[in-house]
Amino acid sequence: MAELINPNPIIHERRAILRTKPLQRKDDVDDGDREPIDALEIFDHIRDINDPEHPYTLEQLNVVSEEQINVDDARGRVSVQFTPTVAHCSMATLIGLSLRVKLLRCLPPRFKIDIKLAPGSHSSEAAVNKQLADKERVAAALENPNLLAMVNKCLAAPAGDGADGGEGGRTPYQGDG
Amino acid sequence: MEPFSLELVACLPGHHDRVWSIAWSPRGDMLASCSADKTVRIWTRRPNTAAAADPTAGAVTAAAPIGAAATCQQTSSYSATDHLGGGTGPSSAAAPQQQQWYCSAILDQCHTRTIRSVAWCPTGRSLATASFDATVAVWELSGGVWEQVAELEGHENEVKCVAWNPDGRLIATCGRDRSVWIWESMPGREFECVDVKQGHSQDVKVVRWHPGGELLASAGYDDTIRLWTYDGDEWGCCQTLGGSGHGPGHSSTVWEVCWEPGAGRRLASCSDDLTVRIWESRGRGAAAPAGGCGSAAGPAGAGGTGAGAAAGAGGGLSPSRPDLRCAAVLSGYHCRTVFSVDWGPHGVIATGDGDDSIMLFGQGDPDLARLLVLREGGEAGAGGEEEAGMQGLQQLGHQGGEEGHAETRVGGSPGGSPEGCQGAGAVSAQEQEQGDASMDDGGEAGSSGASGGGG
Repeated sequence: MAELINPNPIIHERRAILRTKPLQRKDDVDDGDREPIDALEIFDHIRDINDPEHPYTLEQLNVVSEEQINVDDARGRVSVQFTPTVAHCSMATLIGLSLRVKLLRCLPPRFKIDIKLAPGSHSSEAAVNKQLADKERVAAALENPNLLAMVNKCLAAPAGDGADGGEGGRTPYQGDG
Repeated sequence: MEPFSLELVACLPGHHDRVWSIAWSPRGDMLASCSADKTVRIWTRRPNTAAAADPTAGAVTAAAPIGAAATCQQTSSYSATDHLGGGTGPSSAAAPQQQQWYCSAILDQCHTRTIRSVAWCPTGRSLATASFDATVAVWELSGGVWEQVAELEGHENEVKCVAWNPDGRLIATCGRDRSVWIWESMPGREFECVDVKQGHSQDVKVVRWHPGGELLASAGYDDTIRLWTYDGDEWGCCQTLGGSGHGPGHSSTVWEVCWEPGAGRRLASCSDDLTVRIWESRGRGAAAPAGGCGSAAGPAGAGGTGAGAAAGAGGGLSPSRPDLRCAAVLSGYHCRTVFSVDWGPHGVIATGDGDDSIMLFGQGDPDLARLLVLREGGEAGAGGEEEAGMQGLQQLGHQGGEEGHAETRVGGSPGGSPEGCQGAGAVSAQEQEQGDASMDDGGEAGSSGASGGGG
């Protein structure tokens, strides 16, 4: 078994985030009750993605955070920056791909999704960003069964380990109180 | 300021997954679309009896689409409406008629992965498909039935584009293995590989033949455009545009290139760097240009190269020494990757980008451009263009984003008919619900994006 890229990652707690502001409701009749998607909602989608190497989530490893998410609901744009735990991480593309796939599956099709490395966080930042932004390469990669299996493993729910419990548990997609 | 608009005339549902590319048949009577659902669909238009019966219908309202766009679930056709309304009677202001299209054939059970590109043979009723399964298939229509007649194997991984040369004798392909392959059509529906060209340092996304046939352009992820020519013995790279050491060029992936129809003295390219570049040959016959690269951002034009007497001289470009220089850069129009560019027969350039937009660009004075587009008979009006000079490229029309059209892609028909431009689009997101079902086809060598760094 190959040595881990980062054998001693720093683990963070999973934050319990309660929505304290009331959900906004659009006045538009044809939008009905749809509230605008915001950074917190995006974060909820991606916080529990598993790191490919370690039995922790991206939130616990501080790879993603709410501050690094930008959403413009009206224009349908989402931008996520992620920070690998080490600057030469070879899993960066896989993490980025997992982020993209998760958001593609969860967001309405009108959203354009940009996934990028946090500036200065990786030694091959431009190259990784370019791959993640290339829709053709992403589509072709996801047709590769081995790679798709790795992505799905990152997106799978952990086997009841650490996600529930006193920290507030898993936040359901539909939002909470 | 925008004398044209695009009107949607038809929507064609059918494909089950992202549509990657579309192509008009040489006669303009059929549209082929290819998809991640591993099929090609052939679309045919029902004759529109109302238009045929109305003798006052002008070129604009003839039931001929000028563009088409496709999304995950449907294909749509557009036609251009002239807003300046030159007062030639009812034709100028009439709305384009709705079109009736139907799917006349589905080509399936051939490719085992996404079909990325489809191209019609200019000389007959056959077409070629390029697939992520690393093969290219050739299909023929005979007796009303499509059948696969050949399979071209050789690429190591995903094939991204296929193109027939103008006399239908050669096919060019390119792909993620960074190579450009040239195949020759032999008797008995056989194809033989005549050359494999290395040179690009990253995957090659597009290959396009020059209208004169002896020159091939390729472009891709390494941000460069390469030109290949035949010296009687083998194919070689005669020019590289962009990239280190090769002069100014694109600063990110070049997604598509398109030669100007007719003499083909110019080449348009579009890129992830949000610009479209126009390259012009300084070769034989053309007057020396005033400078290097001009820029056109917004209405201001730049870098007048002047007319050359060469315009009508039957080809102002020497295939062995194309000597292209960047003549104009269209920047500030697109805010997301420009995926597709096509040069129509009347001097209109159409582009599609990742912001759900189709844009039309023309050269010089908008009124003159309008005349060029409306002129019947399909002559490219090369003389008119040259007289106007390179006053700059202006945005003629803009089809704004529509729900469901995540990206648009434009291609063009080789003929001079008003069916100049077609567009195809692909939705990036909504088909991914099935994403966790793994593909059941055989494992392909390598994966395209898993390794960090590189390139």
